[in-house]
Amino acid sequence: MEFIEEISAAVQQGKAKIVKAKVQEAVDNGIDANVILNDALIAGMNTIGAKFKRDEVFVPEVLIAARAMKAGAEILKPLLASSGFKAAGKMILGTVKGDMHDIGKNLVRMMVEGKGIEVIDLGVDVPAEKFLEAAKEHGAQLIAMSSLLTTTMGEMKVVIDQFASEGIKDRYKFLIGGAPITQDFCEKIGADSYTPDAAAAADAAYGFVTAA
Amino acid sequence: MDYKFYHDLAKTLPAVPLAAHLVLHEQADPEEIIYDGERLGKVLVETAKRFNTKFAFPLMDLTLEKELMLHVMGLVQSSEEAETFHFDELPPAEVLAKVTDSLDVSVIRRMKASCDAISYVAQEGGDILPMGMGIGPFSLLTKLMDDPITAVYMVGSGMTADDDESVEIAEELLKCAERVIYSYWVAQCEAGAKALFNCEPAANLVYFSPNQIASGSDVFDRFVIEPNARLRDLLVSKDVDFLLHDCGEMRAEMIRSLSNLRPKVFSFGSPVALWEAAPHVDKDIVLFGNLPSKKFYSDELSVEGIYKLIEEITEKMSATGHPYIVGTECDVLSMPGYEQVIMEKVIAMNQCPIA
Repeated sequence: MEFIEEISAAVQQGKAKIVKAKVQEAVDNGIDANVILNDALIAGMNTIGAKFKRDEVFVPEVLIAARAMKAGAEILKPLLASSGFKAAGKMILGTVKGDMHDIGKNLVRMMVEGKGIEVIDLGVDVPAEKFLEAAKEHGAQLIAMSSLLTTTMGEMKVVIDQFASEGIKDRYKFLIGGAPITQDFCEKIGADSYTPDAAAAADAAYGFVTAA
Repeated sequence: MDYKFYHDLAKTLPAVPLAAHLVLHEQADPEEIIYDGERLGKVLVETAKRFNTKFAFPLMDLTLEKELMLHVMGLVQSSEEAETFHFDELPPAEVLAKVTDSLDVSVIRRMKASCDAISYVAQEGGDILPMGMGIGPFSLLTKLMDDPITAVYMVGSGMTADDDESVEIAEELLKCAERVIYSYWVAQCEAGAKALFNCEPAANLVYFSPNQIASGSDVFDRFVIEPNARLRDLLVSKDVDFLLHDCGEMRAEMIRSLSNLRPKVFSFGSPVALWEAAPHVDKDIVLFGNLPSKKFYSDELSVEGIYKLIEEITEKMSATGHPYIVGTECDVLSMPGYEQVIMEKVIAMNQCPIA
């Protein structure tokens, strides 16, 4: 219990080196990798996420915490794999074609990973066919798209239409976000969820995978 | 121009859009015009005249300085390459040394065209104010690194180059950014700009934690205020007005620090209401902006909705007694398929009787 609390606290403080050391110590002391992941790393990120929603911490603190969590998760990876661990779900994430902005996308990745969902981040300037290809390859349930520009947000519809044209749109939930996006736009293009910030996106993603 | 010039404009101007991109994309060949200074200048003059403003706002193209820097360093051959390039290590000293504060900006054709457009406005624009525009040093830095937020946070935590390489990368690239911007601003001043809009949208809550600032970190001063102050001094020395644009979300202490740079006009996006900024800004600085123009394409924001927003800004700003001009939060981008609906809203805001 002591390890779990210490790891969770170190995640919240963004102390990656301490998280790594403590996770290794916990493993060496025989604590189950799933417990460390869920009760220490993810719990720590959930606390940060809640503080972010209350404006008690800000994007840099969330980012540092996510890095710390990732450092701990790296140690657990081989153990989790051998124990048959499965992520809560899989998300394909990217900024749409023509758009180079990545901050919002990166925040979504961190917050969603903090919910125990595996994220396949395709980066920026991602064409529709890449979203489709990755969704099939990884067996994802969620497709998340970001756009900061009014001139590129139309690409979100291109992506959704590509899935529809293959007759597989209903297999996925489409989440969208970015400064110019509105609920109205979300409905018009046939997306499933518009969220105004990364924390809300993570909640929506978690809602979708747990409801499935 | 003195502050009174802008105060007088604040009293007489309607709600002002930054609409060069919209008017540019009405032309048959916008992708050609951005390389042609005279034609670009004509677009700026037409935009100013059409929307009844004395400001010849240039296109808000904040990609040029990065391209120039990388080009001078010999790291990219095209604007497409420049867009996606990030430094994951510090280049050798001899490469950094190529970035001086007297670069020939004409090697980037769009930069030359932007300067030539300013010259055109200065010569042919009558009483329209020829204006320059550019990205601020901190915002440029954020475009140069893959993960600037972490680097800046580490600086704010008191970490040094000895602790983490990314601290050194951020510090050195910020110096390069300042020199590139200095070069471009000199060129715009020499082209005839009488005012220059410095766009520093990354000076916001995404990159800077108020918790860190409250705990005594000087990272906001070191990474935003100090380089901007030096660049402002350049403009002052050339008798060119320093105007500041930051459409990001900010807290009071950030607004106060930026206000201390003494811009003649301080432009805000929709995340910071003008009336909430007003108490933190010197009374002689004209506040500008606020209308959420990124959502003009959407049915969720009707003309009536825009009028209500203008009414609210007008009412609340009048109560502050602070000079202000209602404006768009950014360059209003022409969006394929939505050109007409966006233009209708821009015209409506510009003709709104309340503003």
